Amino acid sequence: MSKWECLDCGYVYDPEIGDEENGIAPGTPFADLPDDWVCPDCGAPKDNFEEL
Amino acid sequence: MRYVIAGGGVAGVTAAKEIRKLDPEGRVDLFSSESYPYYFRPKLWEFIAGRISPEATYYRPESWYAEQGINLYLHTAVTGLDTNEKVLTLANERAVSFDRLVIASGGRSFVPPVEGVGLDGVFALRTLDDAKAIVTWADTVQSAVLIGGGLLGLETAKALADRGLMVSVVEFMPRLLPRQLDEPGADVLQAYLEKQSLGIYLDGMTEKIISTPGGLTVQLGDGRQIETGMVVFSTGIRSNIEPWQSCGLPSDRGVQVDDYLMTAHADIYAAGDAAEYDGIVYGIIPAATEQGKIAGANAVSARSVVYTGTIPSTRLKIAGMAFNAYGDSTLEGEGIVVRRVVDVAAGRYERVAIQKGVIRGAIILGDSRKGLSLKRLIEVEMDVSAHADRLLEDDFDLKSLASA
Repeated sequence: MSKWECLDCGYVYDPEIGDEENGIAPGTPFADLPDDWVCPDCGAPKDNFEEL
Repeated sequence: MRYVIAGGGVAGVTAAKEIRKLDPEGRVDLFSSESYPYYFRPKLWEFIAGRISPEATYYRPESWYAEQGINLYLHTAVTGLDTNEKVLTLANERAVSFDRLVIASGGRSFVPPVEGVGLDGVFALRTLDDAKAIVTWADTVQSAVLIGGGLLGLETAKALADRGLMVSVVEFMPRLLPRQLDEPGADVLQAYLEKQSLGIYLDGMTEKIISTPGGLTVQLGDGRQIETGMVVFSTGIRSNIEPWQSCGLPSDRGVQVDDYLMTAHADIYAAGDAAEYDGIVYGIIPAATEQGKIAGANAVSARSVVYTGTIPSTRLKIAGMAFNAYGDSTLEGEGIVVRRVVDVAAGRYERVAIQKGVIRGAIILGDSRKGLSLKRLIEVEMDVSAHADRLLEDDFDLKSLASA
């Protein structure tokens, strides 16, 4: 599963780690994140991410 | 341990989260002069364009802060600081003592002192309140003039155009995005924006704004006049250094910090648009998050994390056209090898500047993924001499090189 980077702040979403603080379990692919998920570092929306 | 953070923007919230993580026992108070919890500023354009509600710009709802154990105080500006007693004064005259303070008071719009800036219908965009005022006015007029052709000005121009206004952009310099783009790149961008029906006025020095029966007239120094329903200034930001400067913390453009983001006072740190590091106030989100995190960590354990600066990275995303600039994007001169791809018709422009085999700056209009690879190469200072001629070619595997 590929990692995605926030183009606004540089945060990298790693599906193997997920985003547990915000209810995203490890193993969740980027595509399966809810539409209202935002970058945990800066608040950018999903479409501001680019696949690495 | 009582931590106080002055400022509720991205640097302040990031510092608060980091402190919370590293010191679960300490008390964390976050004072914001604004009426809303932290919102992602680029979403203000989405709101102005009419695509989302004001609340949809929030990073987290107000309730989230309490869940995290962060005490959020809205519309509570900090007005005074006593560095000896370690006490802050708030706008409501309350005094708050602290063990560690993180200054994250951000910046405000700078509007040049030209005649007519105080007229009704003249705005600057920085806060959600600014955006609300702009939207209310925009719905009563047909046209707008954006003064300032930088990143924020162009985004605001496009947002107002999406709302249905006829929009013109006035830039003082002879090209758009003068800080991030060189001339050929600016030409490509300008052609693209004109195709999107934005009017572009270069070399335009705004002399005055005049109130007319039909609205406003922007008068430029060379005699050009633009009639409009509203004017929005986007001519830079200034750091909020009051009251920090007046209480004796050394400040120039921002509050000056060392490699630990510590100010001249050992228990006071600064981050984000209010902080000046090595003579630089970055004014960009990646620097604010990086500094917020480090200032927070050092507030918990003094001198535990070193800050070494942030590689500038800026982006503009207007109507499907992504523009990304990294590092010293317009670098040129002796010993600098510049490689370019220019295609005005296709809206494509790519440029890398290489010094002693290492990429120091890049501009990518169009392909964000390529931009990330170049950003990585700039960060790790990889020697790309062997590939310098092929870097920007379509069939060159930049991604593999960057992840090597």
